[in-house]
Amino acid sequence: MSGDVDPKPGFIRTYVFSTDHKMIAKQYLFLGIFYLLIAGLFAVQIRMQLAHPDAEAPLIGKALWPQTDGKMPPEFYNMLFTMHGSLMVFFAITPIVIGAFGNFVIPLQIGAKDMAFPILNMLSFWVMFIGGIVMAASFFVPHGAATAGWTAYASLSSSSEVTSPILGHGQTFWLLGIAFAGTSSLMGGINYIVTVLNFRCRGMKLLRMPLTTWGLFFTAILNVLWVPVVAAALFMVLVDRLFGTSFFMAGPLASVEGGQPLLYQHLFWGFGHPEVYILILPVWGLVGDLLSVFSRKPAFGYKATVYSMATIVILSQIVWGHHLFTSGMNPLLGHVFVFLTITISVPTSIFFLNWLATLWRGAIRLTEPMLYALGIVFVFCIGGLTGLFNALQALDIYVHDTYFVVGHFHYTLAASVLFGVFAGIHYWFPKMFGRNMNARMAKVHFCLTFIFLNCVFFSMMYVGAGGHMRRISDPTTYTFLKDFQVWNRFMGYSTLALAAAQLLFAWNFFHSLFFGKKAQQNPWQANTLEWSAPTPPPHGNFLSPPKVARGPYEFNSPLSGDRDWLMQDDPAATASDS
Amino acid sequence: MPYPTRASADAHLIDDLFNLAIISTSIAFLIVLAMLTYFVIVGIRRSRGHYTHGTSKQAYIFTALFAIVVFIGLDVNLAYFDQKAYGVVFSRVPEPKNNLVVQVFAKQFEWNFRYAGTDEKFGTDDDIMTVNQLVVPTKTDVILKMQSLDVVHCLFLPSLRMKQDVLPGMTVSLIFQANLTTKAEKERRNDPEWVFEIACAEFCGLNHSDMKGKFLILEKDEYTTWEEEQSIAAADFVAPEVWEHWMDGNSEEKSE
Repeated sequence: MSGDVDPKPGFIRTYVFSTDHKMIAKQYLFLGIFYLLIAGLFAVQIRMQLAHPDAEAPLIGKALWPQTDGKMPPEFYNMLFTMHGSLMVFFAITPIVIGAFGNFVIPLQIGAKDMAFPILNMLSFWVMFIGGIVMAASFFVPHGAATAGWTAYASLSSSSEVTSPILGHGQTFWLLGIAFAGTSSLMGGINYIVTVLNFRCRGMKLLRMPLTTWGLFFTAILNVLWVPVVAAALFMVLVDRLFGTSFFMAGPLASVEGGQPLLYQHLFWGFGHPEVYILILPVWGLVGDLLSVFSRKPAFGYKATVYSMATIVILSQIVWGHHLFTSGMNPLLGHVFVFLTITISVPTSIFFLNWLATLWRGAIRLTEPMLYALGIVFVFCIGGLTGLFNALQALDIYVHDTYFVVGHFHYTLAASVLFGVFAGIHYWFPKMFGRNMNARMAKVHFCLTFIFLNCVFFSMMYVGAGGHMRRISDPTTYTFLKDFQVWNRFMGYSTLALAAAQLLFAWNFFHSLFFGKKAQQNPWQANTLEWSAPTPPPHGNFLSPPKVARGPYEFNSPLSGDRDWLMQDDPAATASDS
Repeated sequence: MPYPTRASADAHLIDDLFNLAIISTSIAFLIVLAMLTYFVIVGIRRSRGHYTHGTSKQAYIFTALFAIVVFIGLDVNLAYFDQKAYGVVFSRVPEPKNNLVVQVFAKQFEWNFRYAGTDEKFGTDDDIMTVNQLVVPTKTDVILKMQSLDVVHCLFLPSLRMKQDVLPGMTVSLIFQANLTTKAEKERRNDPEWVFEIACAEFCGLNHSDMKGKFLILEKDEYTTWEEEQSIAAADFVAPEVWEHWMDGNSEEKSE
């Protein structure tokens, strides 16, 4: 039970096998930052290869491939983009946004002492940790890590013969690593749902929960529904590889008839499309929270935002076909998926309306979390609108598997979610570690990241409009792509600058951990319950069980007196219904 | 915009759609950006935010109206032109007398094309085979019947704005008509090295990056000459052992 608090746990129970949701959140955070760094370095190598396909790979080239004068072989390039995508999605974004923020924020924001199942919570982290080790280990098996792309399309991924000699055990390790990550997400998802539904403190009605918790709650629902689907698909790939079955094999390479590679694509994107909402929903919630706090104004259309999120949860599960317009799927199905996909822009446009209306007549405080939140509104607007291009059948067939798509999903996932990561870390760092990060350094980091990230991702969409395919290691061999080499160079150098800018964040983060200024209990003057807990919160979180009297965004309420904020559990003012 | 050269009469529909999408989404983006910037700049000087409580009826009505405007003005509008373009570009009905069937066999990492030759029958001695080179006559409906011999590939013809996955175990078709010859484009560019290209767009393994070929568009009479020459030469051609068996099993396709 969450109420059982061991008064004096030892070192291992405090820092390693902890059941305290806040410690597990920190563990997830460090794990995520580690893989963010690794997968980020892969991105730099990828862009450097595309900038200079005939030159020696910087730093690692001479040491790894002396026989080709340091030139990167295609199998290594394939490994890089495969692992960049897989690690970013499953081992960087997922642990930080869902693992770290989810664990830290949900119990604190709903006034619970801990998660519903603390031991399951601990287990979900350690399963993710093992998955990470398996992924890391795959680099050291013969022929290296997986090379079938993060989507691991069958029958490329499911056959060990076709791709020989390079597709060795790495692909098997990859399947196992993702299975561990999926298991972890599933355990976390169940835990989040049960916690939100059953462990809210007195007065915390569902429609008084902050938007971040709403986002995380919806994410958990999608995880629980769809991770089993992709797990089943990957399991079938695994037995195809290891035991010679033919679930996804057809044609001359199949051992028996009846397999269907297209089925894998349906199963994968059945999960894959909800997955992008799994990653972005908590960020949307966070943006709602931050815009309200730093505009000193109640979040506009709070209920409409929650209902829009719920609508997206439903719609996200029935639009996967827009990934398959070129796949050989029946074109009639394509027409249906076009219509379903464009309806997503209705709830999405309501988010934008509500965010802008929250800022309207607000008293804007340009703190560092606010800058990142405004950055998200900007980049997600680009990401969302370019999604429309991919929803259109005839247009998507042209841009499918080009850098246009890569640019689009980097705007939504890399730019928006990464800004969400930074916004969340800067916002909760004082509560998490009891110290402040350096605000000026964070603002410089925001500006640099914002500029270079747009340089990279916007250029991607531009070359994609010219038909530049993704996942090719040498674009210079194509005549129709010759003119884009200057853009590839520009993206290469911008990526270097983007990576260099992250040093500022790394220094700020780790330096502030030990030497940051001691934080106050409620440095942002926010209303939500995490700021009523002591800083940093003890095991069990609250000194006395909070009793919630109002919604999360009562800024400048007539009840708040001299201050312009009014905590959710503030007993001083009479309860108002919201 | 940096679109590749168009080699068909329909390809401009895709470019027009792309341009329309760029213009309409840019307008939406600029509106958001203008409001965002204005609210922030004005809001910085304010010391207290404006208090609201709950969501008023007017706000709900406004939200609903806004969503309807976005949905019809942006989404339905674009989807209408999209479906129109799709109907023209991807639902082509080949003319019965004026068409050419080409079988496409994709394998790691090459494109194999088979033509029926002068006798217009597949599976005979005069079948023409080309590797990484698709030769088609202009102003003729070309029907590609494609299958993969191993993993999923994707035939990408940038100059036609067309793309179709090629799967093992099933035959998929792509029908198009080119209207610009390679020679004419070479002359226009004054570049004798210029070619239209085909590429593999679906990642297919180790040398995916090299899975590409030339897309030669000839005048009708030039094509007839090419076909005759190749058919005669094909009598001496021995299909590569690896997939000879496979192609024999699939020779029931007849030119229409």
